Amino acid sequence: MQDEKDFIQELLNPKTQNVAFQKLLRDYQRPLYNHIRNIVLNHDDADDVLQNTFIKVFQYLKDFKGESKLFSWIYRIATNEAITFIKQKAKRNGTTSEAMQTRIVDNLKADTFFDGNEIQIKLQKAVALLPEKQQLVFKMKYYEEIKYEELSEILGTSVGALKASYHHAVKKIEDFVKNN
Amino acid sequence: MKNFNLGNEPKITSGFTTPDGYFDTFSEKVLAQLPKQQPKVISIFSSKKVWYFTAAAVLILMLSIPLFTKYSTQQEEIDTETLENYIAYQSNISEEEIVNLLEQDDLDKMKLDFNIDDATIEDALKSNSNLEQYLID
Repeated sequence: MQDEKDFIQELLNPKTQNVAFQKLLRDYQRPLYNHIRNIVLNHDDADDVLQNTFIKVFQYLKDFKGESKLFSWIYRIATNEAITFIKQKAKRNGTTSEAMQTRIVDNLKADTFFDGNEIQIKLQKAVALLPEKQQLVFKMKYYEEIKYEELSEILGTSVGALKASYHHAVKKIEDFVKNN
Repeated sequence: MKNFNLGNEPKITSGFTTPDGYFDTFSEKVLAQLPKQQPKVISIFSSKKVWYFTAAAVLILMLSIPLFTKYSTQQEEIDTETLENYIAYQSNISEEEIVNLLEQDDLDKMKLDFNIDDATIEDALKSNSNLEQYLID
């Protein structure tokens, strides 16, 4: 925790800021990309959202109170950015985010930056049919393997509620795969 | 897929990939977009300024009250001559109406003293050629 405080100080100090932020980018770019890509599904959109996320992290770092871990705080910003992005995109296209996500998943085979087999596509299709919160919990728990305690900090939901959400999500996914 | 159980299956990955070398250039792309120096935000609602503005506003208000009353009372007063001219030439008030408005006080003021001696009256009557006619009437 002390290390994290020192690191935040380095990020805020104009003399060390550049080097510290480069380290933050190195550490977080891949896991955050995966997290955002799992939500927005498309590479170009994930790239946009990831850039915006880091810019916001940089801008709001001075307001970071240290009440939660830096990791949870950054993930919270990324999640909000990604969800806001898909909602705005759906609105621009005159559709709902659910309908838009389903359409993207149905066309995954044609995506240049998707390299998955039948079961991977089937799983993506099953996940796209879940309610928004269950989708988020499933993706972060199953694909990204984030611990419940950390998920709780990121999403502001109790561990118990998250476990219940994940359990429901898995049940629905298994039913979908069995019947399709 | 009759017995599909997510926990028993080998881990299924998302299947998403990135363009070659995407992460090699990503950092630079972000660093180039960062604001060089955070501009200091100066709120116009800083407490000190609010007090200065309030004091200035009160001062202006205080100074303007005497001026306002001065000009507004001047406007209300119309000089007597203008008023008389207006009543005499512009209004449709009949003499009868004016008489009705007169009170005893006003009438007393209007009384004239006729201290004329008899000789003056006689002279006046003599010089009046219509006297006989008046008497007949």
